[in-house]
Amino acid sequence: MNTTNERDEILGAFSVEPVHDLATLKSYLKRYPQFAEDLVELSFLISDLTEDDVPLSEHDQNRVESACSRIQRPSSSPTITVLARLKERSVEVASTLGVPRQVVTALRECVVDVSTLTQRVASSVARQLEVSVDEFRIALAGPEQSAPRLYRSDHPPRSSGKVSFEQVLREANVPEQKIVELLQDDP
Amino acid sequence: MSAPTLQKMKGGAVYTRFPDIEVKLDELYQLTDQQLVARCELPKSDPNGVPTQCVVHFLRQHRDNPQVFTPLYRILATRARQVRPNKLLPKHEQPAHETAFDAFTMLLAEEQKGYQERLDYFEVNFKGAYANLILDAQRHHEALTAKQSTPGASDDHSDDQEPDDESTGDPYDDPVFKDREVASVWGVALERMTLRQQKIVKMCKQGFLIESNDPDEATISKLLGITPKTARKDRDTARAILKRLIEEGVNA
Repeated sequence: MNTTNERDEILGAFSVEPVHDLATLKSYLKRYPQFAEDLVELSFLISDLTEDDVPLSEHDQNRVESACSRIQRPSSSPTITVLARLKERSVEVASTLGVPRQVVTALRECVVDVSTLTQRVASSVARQLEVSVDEFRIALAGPEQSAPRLYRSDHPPRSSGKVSFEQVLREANVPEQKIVELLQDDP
Repeated sequence: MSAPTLQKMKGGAVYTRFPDIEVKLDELYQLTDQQLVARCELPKSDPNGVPTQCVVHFLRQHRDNPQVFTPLYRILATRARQVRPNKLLPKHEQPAHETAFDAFTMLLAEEQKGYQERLDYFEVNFKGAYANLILDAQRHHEALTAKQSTPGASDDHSDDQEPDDESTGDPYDDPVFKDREVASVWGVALERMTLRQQKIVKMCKQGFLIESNDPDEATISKLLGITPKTARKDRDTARAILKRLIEEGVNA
């Protein structure tokens, strides 16, 4: 073993000792006098360092942010992806389903009880969003994403809580024939 | 059950975590990923706080799961910034702390790509392992400074011809080295000392004697390879610098 490796190994071993008192240091000095200077300095450093929960200064925070830029960021979760795509592609989705955009908005805001969506509608929308049907259903099953909006409606504001897809269609004044079509699953 | 630390000690035995850390790991393994991150985000001093060794462990276990790795990385970077010296650092030691932080966060980031052996030490004793990184950085900076400095500027001139001051007092009991006020003037004091005086004052603070009748005792004079007279002279000079700064302030 070369001297550098041995030095690193001895200092590494000393650094993880459970107690860093004078007795521990002296026992290392006795066994490894060739690394005395480093062992004494390391012992001094360990005894001088504290790990308190102190608030970080602005400089410290900047150093943490800079360090964080080194690592790979997590990709967006499937739920975020589904809801974001529903927003981006709301016109196309509404057009495919043949419903007003407010129905798509209700889907995006997770207002619709996902169990009332037919497999045909779920598959159609999922395909358009380029996600799996499961991802689509999981995303819509999440908590309501209410957003304050100013628009006129023929219906009074709904109390919080999920509603059926049928109710959303009726509140959007979707023609009866279209409602039947959308609520009917393939045999 | 937590994964074993893989680093081998001199002689082949494997390093082991302290028992309290093993118990805590077993408890934390019962949590979901979200709960784990939430626990690690608590301050260390919180009754439910997570020791830094455990945070390092779970970061490594989740190297392929950015949803956990990323927040734990941030927590560890924050905790590394909270590792501070008790005393104000002399200017020449400050860059070493910054370099150590970079080295530590680099190790963590590299762990995302593959196993980093050195992180094993951080799972056993975080503070000790971090101090070792600081020491490496200190040695690196000293080597750079030595290359740039003019030859002959060192403090290594012998004082052995000076008369012994007959001081037999044990520096371990010297109130100047024990004074709480030392912390506030420490950095400036070290900047005014020679390298050997710095080493001696640090050893005095750790309780080393200048000399001893016991031939097996590690003493300052033996460790630095100088005579007890020289060691005492350096110690007294260092003590005078500290004392003056404590009495008159850092602008003296």
